[in-house]
Amino acid sequence: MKLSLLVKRIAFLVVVIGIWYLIYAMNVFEDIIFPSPTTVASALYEGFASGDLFSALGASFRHLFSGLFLAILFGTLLGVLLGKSREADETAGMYLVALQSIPSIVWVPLAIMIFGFSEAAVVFVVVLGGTFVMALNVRSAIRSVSPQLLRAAKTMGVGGVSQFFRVEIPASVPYFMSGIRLAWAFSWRALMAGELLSNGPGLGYSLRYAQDYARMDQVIGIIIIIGVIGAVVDQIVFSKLEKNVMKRWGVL
Amino acid sequence: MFLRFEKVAKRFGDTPENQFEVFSDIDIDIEENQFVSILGPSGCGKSTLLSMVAGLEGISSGTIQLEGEDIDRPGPDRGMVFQQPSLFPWLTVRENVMFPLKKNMSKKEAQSRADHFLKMVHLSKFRSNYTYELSGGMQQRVAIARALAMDPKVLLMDEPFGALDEQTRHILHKELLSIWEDTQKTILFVTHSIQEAIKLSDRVIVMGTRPGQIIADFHVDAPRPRERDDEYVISLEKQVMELLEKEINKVLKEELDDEAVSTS
Repeated sequence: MKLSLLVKRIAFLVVVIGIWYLIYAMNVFEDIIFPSPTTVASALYEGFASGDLFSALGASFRHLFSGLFLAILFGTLLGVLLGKSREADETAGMYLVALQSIPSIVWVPLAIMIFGFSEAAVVFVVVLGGTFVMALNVRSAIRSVSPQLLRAAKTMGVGGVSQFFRVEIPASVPYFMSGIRLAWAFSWRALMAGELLSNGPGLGYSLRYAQDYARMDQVIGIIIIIGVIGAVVDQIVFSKLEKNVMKRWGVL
Repeated sequence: MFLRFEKVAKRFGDTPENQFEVFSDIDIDIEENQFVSILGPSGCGKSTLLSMVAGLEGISSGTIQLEGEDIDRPGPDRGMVFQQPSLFPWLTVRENVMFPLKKNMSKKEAQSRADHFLKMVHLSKFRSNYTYELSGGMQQRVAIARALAMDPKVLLMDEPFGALDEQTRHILHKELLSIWEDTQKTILFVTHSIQEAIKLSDRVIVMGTRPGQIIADFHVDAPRPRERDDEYVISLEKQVMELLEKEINKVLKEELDDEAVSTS
């Protein structure tokens, strides 16, 4: 990143916080619904210092990774099936789109009824949040393998199963990466929905806990954490990874 | 005969009503080590014919035999170079050339073989590069090396230089001829460029269209390298041009008539 860009972005943040502080100082709203930036900062500091936020984050990431792992696994299997078999796709493909369009929070009551107020319920919601978008992307990935590459492979005696592993899978990597990135984004949203309504532990649960105790400073602090994690993972991990893959695969 | 086409036909469509015959009764005999071009207007089925030799396209009737064996599927005795280089972007240049070898030999053997053919196409320096780092002409040279690495009996080339600029094409013509002299492969080369066909080949087979058929078979008896301003080359070009013009006019006329019917 260019230095000037970094400076601009930091300056922007400073201005936003400045305006925030100004409004706070004018006493337009009650302190309980409009805390100052410093109160929020100290709430965050306390949360981390006491270890509460760390354990909440740890629990959230545990839910996220187990859920995302399963979502990628199921989504890939489903996507390969639909991508390879026209029959399967014609029969079930459109339902996948329907399932994908269901907001994750809708699954929460279902999950709670099956798994109770447990961490398993949260993981279940995360899995459902990521699986369908992953499946849709893997399906596109398999379908978009250039027929020309398949023909070329055939002339070199690579067909059937070995063609699947040596050509179709590697050729699918760019779409697969986009799939993982989207699955992560959807799972992250699903995770928060699930945790908000759970009995903890987790970042979403901490958020609701703060709400129950009318701690607006904590509420805002946790929202900031959620936003920062989402942006950091997307921008630093996935964007870079995806860009490198796209370049290598000649898609860009 | 080395490579023999006998009454070869290609039809598309499964019911008699919507059946479309691309060509029929194609008979060609090709000798070993010959460089043969198939030339024709678009739509005559020359690429389809080549794909049939590669085993990528089914033969509707008739037979194609390589050294007496019927062709019905792809095989390592036929290497193919397409108009698009069709390299695997996730592999390095060297790994691309090793791709067809992996099953049959150790990695070391495959590597040294790949290196041998990369040297032949003057790309030794680029063996660790990925294909997106290469120009179109270089990519096509990798594709040629890859096809040769299988040690095929016939090298099939489907307008391999069609997408390249004039300068690059000229260089690759020279390289291909020297490879052909070194390896003594039989080459079947599809093109729509008259100059290219005459410059490279021992024999130019001209296909016509609607129905697809062979309308002429020229032997090019001129020493290589052939220059464009050579009298013999010019007169041969003229003959082929006249033949093809008739074919192209036929196609144009048909298309215009179709238009007239459909808009009236």
